[in-house]
Amino acid sequence: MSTPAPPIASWRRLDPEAEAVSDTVAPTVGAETELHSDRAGRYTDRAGRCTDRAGRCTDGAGRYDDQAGRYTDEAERYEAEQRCGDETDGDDEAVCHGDEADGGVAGRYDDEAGRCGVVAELYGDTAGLHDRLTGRAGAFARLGAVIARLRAGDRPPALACEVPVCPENLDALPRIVDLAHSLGALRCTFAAPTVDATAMAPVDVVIPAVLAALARCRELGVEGRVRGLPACLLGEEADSLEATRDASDPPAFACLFASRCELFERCAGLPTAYVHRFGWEARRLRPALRASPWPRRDGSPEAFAAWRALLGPAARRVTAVALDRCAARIGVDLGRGRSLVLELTPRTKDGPALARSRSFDIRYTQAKGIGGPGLARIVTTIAAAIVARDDGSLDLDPRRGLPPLPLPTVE
Amino acid sequence: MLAQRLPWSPAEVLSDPPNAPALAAGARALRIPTGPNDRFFDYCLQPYTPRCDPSGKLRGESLLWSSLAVAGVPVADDRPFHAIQRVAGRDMTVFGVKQQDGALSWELYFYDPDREDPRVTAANLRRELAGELELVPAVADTIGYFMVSFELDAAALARRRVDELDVYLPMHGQQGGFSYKFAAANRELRNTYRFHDPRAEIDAIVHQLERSVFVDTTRTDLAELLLPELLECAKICVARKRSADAIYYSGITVGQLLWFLRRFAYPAAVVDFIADNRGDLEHLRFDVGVDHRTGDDGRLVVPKTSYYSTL
Repeated sequence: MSTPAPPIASWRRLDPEAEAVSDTVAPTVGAETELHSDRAGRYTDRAGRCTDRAGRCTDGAGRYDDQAGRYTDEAERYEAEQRCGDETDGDDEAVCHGDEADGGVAGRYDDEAGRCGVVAELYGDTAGLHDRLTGRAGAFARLGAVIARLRAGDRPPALACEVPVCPENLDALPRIVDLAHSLGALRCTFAAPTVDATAMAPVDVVIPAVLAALARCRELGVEGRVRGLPACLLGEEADSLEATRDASDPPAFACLFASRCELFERCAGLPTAYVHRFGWEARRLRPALRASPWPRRDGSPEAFAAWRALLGPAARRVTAVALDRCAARIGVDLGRGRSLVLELTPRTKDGPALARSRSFDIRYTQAKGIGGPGLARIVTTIAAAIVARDDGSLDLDPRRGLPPLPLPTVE
Repeated sequence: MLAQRLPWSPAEVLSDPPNAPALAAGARALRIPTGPNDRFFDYCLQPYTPRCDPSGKLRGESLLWSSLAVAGVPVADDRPFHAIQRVAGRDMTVFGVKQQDGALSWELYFYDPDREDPRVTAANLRRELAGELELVPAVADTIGYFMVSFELDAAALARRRVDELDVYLPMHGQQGGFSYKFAAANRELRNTYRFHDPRAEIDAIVHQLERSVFVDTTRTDLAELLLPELLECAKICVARKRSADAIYYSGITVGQLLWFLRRFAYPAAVVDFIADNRGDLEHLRFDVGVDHRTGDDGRLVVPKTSYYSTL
């Protein structure tokens, strides 16, 4: 195993193109990284403006600047507007996954809880390769400049590198690790494409290259991770695979051997786009014979009641329970036209979540008619109820409609 | 509260099809709301638990009415379907919408393996549907069938006549069956079907798909036959037919159904209806089938596909 990186409370994706727009403004790789607080809990940004912990401008007395020069107490409205970005469903529904990308509720306050970090995409170890694969001349130089500026700051953020794996950079992967290490990266994630079949290479070519890169990570003390490849092909490095929980409909991943594989809970198999291009790889995949029992199935009305009960006093406000392959989505009517949907997915170690109960990562989505501190209070209360009541007896079984399979016979 | 939202009361369910008012008015209602007594069955008429609360959503039969509208079937020709629903009971008839040579047609399936419901024997259907739909072949109920079915296209609906029935005999010791085509004067073996748990029996599924007299497996990758987007399902059936092999995926989601309809180029109006109502169909599971064989140019040909729900 590679040395795990120290816990980072919040990761933000670095966009060197945006960062390079102005040389006069300090890099704003997430407001949290640039905030300074006094012991009274007041925050200022580098421009000296009063902010709250999330970096929202205030007048220092808790009123919010709506960025039109008006101070307002309508924090809920302000926050909802701030969150209505790429993650919205297009009808003014604020969506928060609690991760670093959308500045979710959980992510806003963790500059107090620990270090912050940025994620940089590295396509190559040279300007030629990186620029060619990004399709942007000078991208490599700009990335390097932004990282250098970040490292020269008062509180340099932790750095992680994400390496999109493609046919053109397979040979360069170990050298990319060297580069990431020289930039101070704590972690390298090798991300295989999951949608674009033209960017994919056969696993018998990709896997050796990724294993070599992971070995280099180990040598340099960089945490190595893998995304989007079958765990069974990673051998002793299977633990490096970030759990692939495919909640898309139709599924974006599939594996012929899911039913017999011990790794099923954290490995969804091959991207369907890959299967269409290269086949099921039935003769290459090496499923680990399953000995442990399958998690309990759900789906009965009784199970629905059990899911509702997780919410404690808020159970009476549940309007719907949808048990999907990998998620329980619980609609909650908060009254006066306000509602949200709680989303429970199998617990991960460090996936985006507002809170983690014994079995689940807890998020919310589709918040309607509510936002800001009011919303935060409500979801925090409900999440706490779930954490308190989740005794581990409810599981999300990604399989559906099937009786438990017999234990495989080991020959 | 729920009953107030419904256009008909539960007491009326068995006697008055929900589409009847629209039918009387010369219109076809496509969006049929769920009712408190709805039951949920797959295309083998095996029950399943809806994926989420079905209240306020749509019944699976909405897909049937939509397909009839897309195919340009006159509303008056819906009458046989309403008669079937009345005779067999709501939710108790499986319907399939088929696409072959660019045209839509329909098949209706009546299950009663244990003769528990005298309404859906072949003889009773023939008797009860007379006047709305003439079933020409007579099938003796003494035959140990577990299911009968018949196909309807726009012409048959206009004629109100069915010239052939399919009768299905069960396999012993495993889920599967043999279908026979019954015409007025003759009967012949048509297809065999074997159902598998796609997780526990993937080897059996692959074994059958890789051994075919119609598909040149040296030129066709398994992924063309066993579609990865649909592997996540409750049941897979592999069928041997007279001029093709076939695979059926049971218990898929509406998202998978939409993928299937787009993949096999169903009319845009069929796809759009389901896509537009996706949120109201999330509680249902669907079933789909694909016939395949190798064409003259060596490429895989898909002569017929189908999707299923209950009426």
